[in-house]
Amino acid sequence: MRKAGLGLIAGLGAASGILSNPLFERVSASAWASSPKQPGRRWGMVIDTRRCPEGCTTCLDACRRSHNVPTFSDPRRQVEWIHKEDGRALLGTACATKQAIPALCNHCAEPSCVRACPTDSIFRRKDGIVAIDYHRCIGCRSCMLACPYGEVSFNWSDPRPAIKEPTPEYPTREQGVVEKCSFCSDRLKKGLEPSCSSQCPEGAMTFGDLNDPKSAVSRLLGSNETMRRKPELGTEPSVFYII
Amino acid sequence: MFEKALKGNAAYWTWITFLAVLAGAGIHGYRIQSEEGLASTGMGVGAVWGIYNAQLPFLAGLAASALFILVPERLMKRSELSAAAPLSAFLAAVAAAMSLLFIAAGLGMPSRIPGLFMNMSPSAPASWHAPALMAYLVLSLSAGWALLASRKKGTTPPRWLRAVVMLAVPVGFALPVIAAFMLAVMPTYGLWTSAMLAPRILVSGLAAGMGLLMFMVVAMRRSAGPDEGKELVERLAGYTALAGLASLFFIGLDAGTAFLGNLPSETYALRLLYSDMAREALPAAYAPFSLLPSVLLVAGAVSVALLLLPVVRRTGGMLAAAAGLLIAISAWFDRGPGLILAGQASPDGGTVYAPAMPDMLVTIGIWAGGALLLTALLKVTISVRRSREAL
Ligand code: SF4
Ligand code: SF4
Repeated sequence: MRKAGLGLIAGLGAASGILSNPLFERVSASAWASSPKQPGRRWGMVIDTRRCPEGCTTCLDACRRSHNVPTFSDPRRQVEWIHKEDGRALLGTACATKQAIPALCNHCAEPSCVRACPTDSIFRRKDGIVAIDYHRCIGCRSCMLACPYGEVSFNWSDPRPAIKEPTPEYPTREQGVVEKCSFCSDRLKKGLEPSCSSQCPEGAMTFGDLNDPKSAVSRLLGSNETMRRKPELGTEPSVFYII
Repeated sequence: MFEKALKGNAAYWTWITFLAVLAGAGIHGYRIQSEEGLASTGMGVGAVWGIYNAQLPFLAGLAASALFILVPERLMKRSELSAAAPLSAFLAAVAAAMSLLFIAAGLGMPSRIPGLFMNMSPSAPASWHAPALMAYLVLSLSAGWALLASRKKGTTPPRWLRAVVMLAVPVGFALPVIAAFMLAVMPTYGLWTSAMLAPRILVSGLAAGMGLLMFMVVAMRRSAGPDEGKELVERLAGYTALAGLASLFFIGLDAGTAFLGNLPSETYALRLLYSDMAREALPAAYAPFSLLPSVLLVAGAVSVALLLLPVVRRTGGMLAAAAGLLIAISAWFDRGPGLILAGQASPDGGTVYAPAMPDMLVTIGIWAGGALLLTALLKVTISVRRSREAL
């Protein structure tokens, strides 16, 4: 009797586990749109890791070039807005691939970096982008420790000499402030897509409005099982991965 | 009144010169750091915070400890604590001032320090840190000074002092809470997300504050005569012992939870501190220091045990004073470098922070500056006491 009872409970647990398994999710666009906390536009990205070939760095290079991101050889001084990392390290053991896949700021809906900033220099915009005010940041690095994904970089020394191909299109930063991916808010303003997704030769990155059920990202999310990084932390990332 | 700090014997001036040289070395270190950026320090990717931030939780608790003297003395008329009241207020002021200096030293953009007060973001706990420290610095310094001034004149302290102490209560108790909550927003670090953090900062700060106070009162007795403040030392020794005991209990609770729950981040940090692991994780030059956490923990525990013996408390001599000092040092490591530097290390490997020359110099310099300020204030206190006796 007791055994049967336990079996029943275990069965229920398994069933509910399938329904609410946080590792893989099928996101319906209407669920985003109807969420009262997320009205209007919410920018997001879907990365199809199956299309991303090993060794390709087109998106990383495009990002560095378009935003004057400095290149430091010392790994302890590294500054990067987007990088490639072993899929399993990034997404956990449920991710079968050990291939390197792109990782960037997730523009979380509940960003811990924002709660850590004493000066409101890193903040969440209405369109979901988590942005940094480089003229306000005091360089306390709280946001770096608060981001569970390690997606904030600090300029440990003057970044300007380390910019390989400077562009006048975007401001440079100075020693002592943090920086990270901005979802190319500067390009969005001009009606352009982010550098990384627009230059990916394989079409592995799709950018768009998560709250618009007709957008390409929403359609991808509706038709694929996707994963997000560390979903158990409740940060609600806006970057999704198709494995 | 401050001119009293400028008169002293040779030993006093040797000590002052020694501290001033160390503070000067700190300024030199800071010059290197501001020229070459934080790249010149031991910090970097994987060790984002260093020895500056590692002082802040301890100092917050130390600053708050003064309330346990000022409130009973001012608001509950416990006159037996009167001799310790200005000292404890000064200790709190020095802790707050040092905290502000450590915050400033760790910023990448020191020119934007006003932003800490003008660009506050109320929902971020870290936002309240500098303003609360600044308010507490002003409150505790004015309380200490007013107490001393009235003692000098032989009058009762002014009534507004009660208001100052009442105001200091919420600000002072907020300090450990802010210090804990500004770490709680960092979800990946197990040691920092414990709800025990604020009470542990408060209690070990209390043990350290009372221990240091006892040390200072014993030192004062040596110059002011053996009968002075005998009961006071006994009382302070009792407070130190109880707070130290509570602190040890809390350490046990946190460690027990970590190991029973087999929490990866917490157990990694604790192993890094108290097992052989640090020897491998630290750069070779620092390997001899890998035993330091265990030594300090044991020294603190033994000192607490000593102070629990009535005979040690009653005699109140150098033994009690030394125990008080050791408890303070042990609490400093536990709620300072042990919490921040080991807490930030990642179980996935990567770098463990070890200070480089500039951050080492600046840290020593700020501590020397704090000691300098405290010595001067202590000197004024002793002189006021002597001049009263001469009357
Ligand atoms: S990924 Fe990190 S930096 Fe980006 S929004 Fe989330 S918490 Fe902030
Ligand atoms: S480093 Fe800059 S953006 Fe990050 S928390 Fe500090 S002030 Fe805010």
